[in-house]
Amino acid sequence: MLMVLASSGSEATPPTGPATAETRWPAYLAAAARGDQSALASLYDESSSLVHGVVQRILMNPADAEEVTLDVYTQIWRSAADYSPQRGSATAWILMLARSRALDRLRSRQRRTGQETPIDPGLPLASSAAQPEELASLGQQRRHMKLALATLADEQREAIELAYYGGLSHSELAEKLGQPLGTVKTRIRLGMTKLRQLLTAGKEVR
Amino acid sequence: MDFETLRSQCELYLLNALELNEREEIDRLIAAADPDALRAMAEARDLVAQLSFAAEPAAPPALLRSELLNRIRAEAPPAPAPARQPSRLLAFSGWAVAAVLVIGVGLLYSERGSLYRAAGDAQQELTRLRDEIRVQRKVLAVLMARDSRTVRLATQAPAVPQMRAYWSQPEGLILTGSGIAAPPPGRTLQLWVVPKQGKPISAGIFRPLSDGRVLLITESSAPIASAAALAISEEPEGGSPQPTTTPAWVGALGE
Repeated sequence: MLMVLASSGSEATPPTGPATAETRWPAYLAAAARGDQSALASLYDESSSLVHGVVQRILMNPADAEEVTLDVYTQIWRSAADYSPQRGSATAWILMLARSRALDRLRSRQRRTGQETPIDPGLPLASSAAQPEELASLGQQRRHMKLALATLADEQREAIELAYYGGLSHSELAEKLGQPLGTVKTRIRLGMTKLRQLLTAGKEVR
Repeated sequence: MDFETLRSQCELYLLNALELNEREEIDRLIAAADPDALRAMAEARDLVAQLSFAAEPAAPPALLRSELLNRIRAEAPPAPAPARQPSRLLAFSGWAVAAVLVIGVGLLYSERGSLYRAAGDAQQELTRLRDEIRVQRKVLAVLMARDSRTVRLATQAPAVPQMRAYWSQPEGLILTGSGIAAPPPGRTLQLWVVPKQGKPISAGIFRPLSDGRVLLITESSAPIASAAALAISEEPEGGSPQPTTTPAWVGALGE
C-alpha cells in the first residue's frame, strides 16, 4: 500500500521588503509572468488555504475542490501577465478567479446531475494548517469581514452570500427567497454599501 | 451617474444582480476605458472579493502542491537555478518546531489544551489519509490503463533502496519510494525519460520528505512507446535541461 508524500524540488525566495500579502502577491504574480516557478510556489504556499477554502465552500465536495484549486493555480501561472493593479488588488484578482472557476464547476455539475448543491458530510469545515504568513497578514482581514457580515441584517447577508457563494443571479435569488426582484437587489445593494462602510472604518481604525 | 452609484452598480454587476441593460451599460463604459468606470470596477472587485474571507480557510492536500509544480514545469523549460540561499522550508521548520514546543508545554497544563492538540492531530491525520486516497486513486487509474508500465529503478549500490514508477500516457507518471536519502542543500533529484533514440527528457524534480518517503505525480510529454528507460539523477536546485550527473537510479521499461 502506498503511504507516501512528496515534496517539491525548489523553494522560492520571497521578494525582499514587502511584508504583507497586498504587496508580496503582486510581486509573485509579476515574477510568475516572467516564468519564475518558485514565485508561483510561494504564492501557492501563502494563498492556497484561502483559495481552497473559498472553492470548497462553493463546491462542498473535496474531490471537486482539489481539482478546481489545481486549475486555479494553473490558470494563474498561465495568465499572471494579465494581472494589472489598475484592475484591483492581486488578492481580489486571485479570489475572483477562484470563485469564477468554482462556480463554473458547480454549474457544470448541476447541469450533469440536476442537483443544486450536494453536501458532503465529511467536508472539513476548517483547517488548522493554514500557513503562518497567511495567518499573520490575512487573519485580520478575515476577522473584519466576519464581524462586518455579522452586523448586516439577516436578509442582506443571506442574499449576498447566496449570490457570492451560490453564484445565483438576482432573478434566481428572487425565486429561491420568494421575494420580488427589486427587493433582492436592494438587499444586496444596501448590504454591500454597509460592508464597504464598515470595512473602510475598520481600516481607518487600524 | 455619480462615482458612488457607479461603484455600487459595479458591485451588483460582479454579483450578477443587474438587469441586462444595466450590465450592458457597465460593459460599454469598461470597453470605452472610462476612467471612473475602471476605478469603480477595481474598487468593487476589491470589496466583493473580500467576501471570500467569510469562508473558513482549508489547506489543500500536500500532494496538490507537488502536482501543480510538476504541471507547470511540464509547460515551461526549467528556470535557471536560483542562487544558493538559506532554505525557507528549513527556517520555517525551525520556527514551527519551536512554536510547537512552546505550545505543547502550555497544553500539558490544561485539559482544554489537550483537546486542541487532539483536534490538530486528527486534522493532520485526515490530511494524510486524503493524500493517501488521492495517491491510490491515481495509481489505480495508471495501473488500469491499457498502456500501463511498471518500472523498478535501482542503483548500483545494493544498500540503496529502489524506487518504483507507474506510467501511463493518458493517466500520468507516478514515482514512489521510501528510505531515500535527501540530496545536499541546493541540489535536487530529477526524473528523466530516456528515449530509445535522442536525449533524456525531464519528467519532474523532487526531494524526499524528511522521513525518506517519496512520491512524485507528474506527466511526461515523451511518448511511452519510444521510451527505453527511466532514470533519476542529482541536479542543481531547480533542475537541469539535461542530466549533469550520472543517473543514480535507472530502470528499463518492460513491455
